[in-house]
Amino acid sequence: MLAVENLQCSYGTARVLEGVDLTVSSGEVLALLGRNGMGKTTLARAIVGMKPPQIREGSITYRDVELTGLESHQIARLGVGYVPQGRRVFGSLTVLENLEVAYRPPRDGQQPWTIERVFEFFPRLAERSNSYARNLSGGEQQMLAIGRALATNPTLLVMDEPSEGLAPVVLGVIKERLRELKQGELTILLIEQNLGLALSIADRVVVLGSDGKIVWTGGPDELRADEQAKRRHLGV
Amino acid sequence: MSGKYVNDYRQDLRLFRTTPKKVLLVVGLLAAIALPYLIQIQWTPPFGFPWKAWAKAINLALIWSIGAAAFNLLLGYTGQISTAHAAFLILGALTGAVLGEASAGLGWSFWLVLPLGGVVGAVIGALVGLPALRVRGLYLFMATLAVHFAAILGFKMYQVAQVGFTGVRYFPPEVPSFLHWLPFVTPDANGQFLIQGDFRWYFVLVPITLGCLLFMVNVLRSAEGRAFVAIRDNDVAASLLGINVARTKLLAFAVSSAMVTISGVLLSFFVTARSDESWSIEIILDVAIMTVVGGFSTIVGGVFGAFFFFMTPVLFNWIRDLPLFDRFTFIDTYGSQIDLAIFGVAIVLVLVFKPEGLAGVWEDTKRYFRTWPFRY
Repeated sequence: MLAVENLQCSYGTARVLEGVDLTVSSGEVLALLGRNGMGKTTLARAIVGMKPPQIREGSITYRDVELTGLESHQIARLGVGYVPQGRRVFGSLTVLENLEVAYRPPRDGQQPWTIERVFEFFPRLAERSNSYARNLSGGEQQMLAIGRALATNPTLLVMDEPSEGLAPVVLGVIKERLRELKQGELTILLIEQNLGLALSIADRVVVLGSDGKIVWTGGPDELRADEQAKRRHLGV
Repeated sequence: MSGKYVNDYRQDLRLFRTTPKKVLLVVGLLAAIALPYLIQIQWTPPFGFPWKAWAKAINLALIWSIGAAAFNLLLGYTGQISTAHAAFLILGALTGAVLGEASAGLGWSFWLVLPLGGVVGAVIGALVGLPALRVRGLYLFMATLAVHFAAILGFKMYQVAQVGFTGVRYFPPEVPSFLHWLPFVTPDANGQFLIQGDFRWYFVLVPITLGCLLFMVNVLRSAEGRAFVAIRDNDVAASLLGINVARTKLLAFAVSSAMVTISGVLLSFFVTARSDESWSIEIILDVAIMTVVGGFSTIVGGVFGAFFFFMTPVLFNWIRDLPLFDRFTFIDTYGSQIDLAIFGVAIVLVLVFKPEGLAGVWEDTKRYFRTWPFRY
């Protein structure tokens, strides 16, 4: 569904990704792990068309459409939903308005997300539908960021550290919701620092190493067992 | 209580939903119709309180309401600062001067020139918005400032070439004869009904201003309008959700500029004469005062601000001539400077005590009555 080939990215003269190859198949949850500063977020930004980074070489194709060179709103309209790091909700819009801004009618052959369904998915958001997003707690903002991405009716959801800065209770809720999304057959590229969360929902794991390439690929159970890889590439 | 049960989407979309709101609307409309008749009464209130002077102030406030609300749409909602505001007033004046019944104009009807002004304003507005795709904040401020001076130059060139140094004169628009059946429209001896004087202008300005304001309110309630706010809050996140940021910014510029240009056409025909010296850079400050005092990020804020801006000087004028105050001659000598200083103080007070402006006070008043007798 998503294929990244030999992707090389840089910020000015600083090279970050040095030839990343990655595929995400339909219905799969792929976890992208790696230590701080390895380029996880850079990869996500490149996929959704944010600039910087500049893409020096390589290709990103999504359902046979080349994404490099497209504007981010065009990529979003192709069905790539993005939950950005740091949430970035629209503070002066209410929860409901945040969802309304994002809403796009579904593409064919897909179980459609409506605003009502997002509210069922995160009942907490329904309770706060008329609150301004800036007044939400961190966990609620994260739910809104996810709900907002779902309201665009994506076929691929790219999530950048949804666990960042969340209290354990909220983390539990998010984890459970992500499992539900997985059962709903949504394709997810999950970028995470939280190893536990990533391993508990991923079908497959890739690890980005310090040389700007993918250094490890395998199933979650394999990684759990591979103490050496964990120590070398993740520092745990 | 304040709850309102709606059971279909159409009801939820209405602007005036509750019975009190509808009552308020009807009462407001009746008051608006009665107002000029009251002001027309030959009457001198006690203490020489101003009476007839309100007519002009109200008409000017109506015209500037459009511009102030449009400024709010651009700055308050979309977060794009533009100093080209006066430039679009000039564009409106120029459209009227070239096409309309003015000194050297083509003599097209005012009723045609007015919407045309909107079209011209939208097109030029989108062009002026182009720098907004690249720069923001103070840089956009500077980039659009250039447009202001270009517009003054354009008006001056037209004026010098076509009219001379006296300035462009605008002739009163006419109510077309097929509308003479309207109540209160009694043609003059020559069979014409010209719109001149504060009384007649008022009845033209109220529907046009209301129309423009309703248009802006409805744009902001649409999906595009929500996208304006999304862009102001976080343009990157907006584009990641599939909002075309460039297109939306240009749309905001086009809508706002179209409205300001229409108010520019109205202003020129209302004040009947314009020259290249009618447009100072202060106009931008005036609109900023209206926006801040009236209330940021609300359309009614622009209206409140415009009325505040044009009605308080009338009050100040009156206070200046009161016994006691008239002893201080400097108050009379520096009248307009003192007015400006008072506006300055008003802005500081608003920012400190009521950042939501007069529109916020209005909301509080409504809430007070809605929840009466409960205070919280």
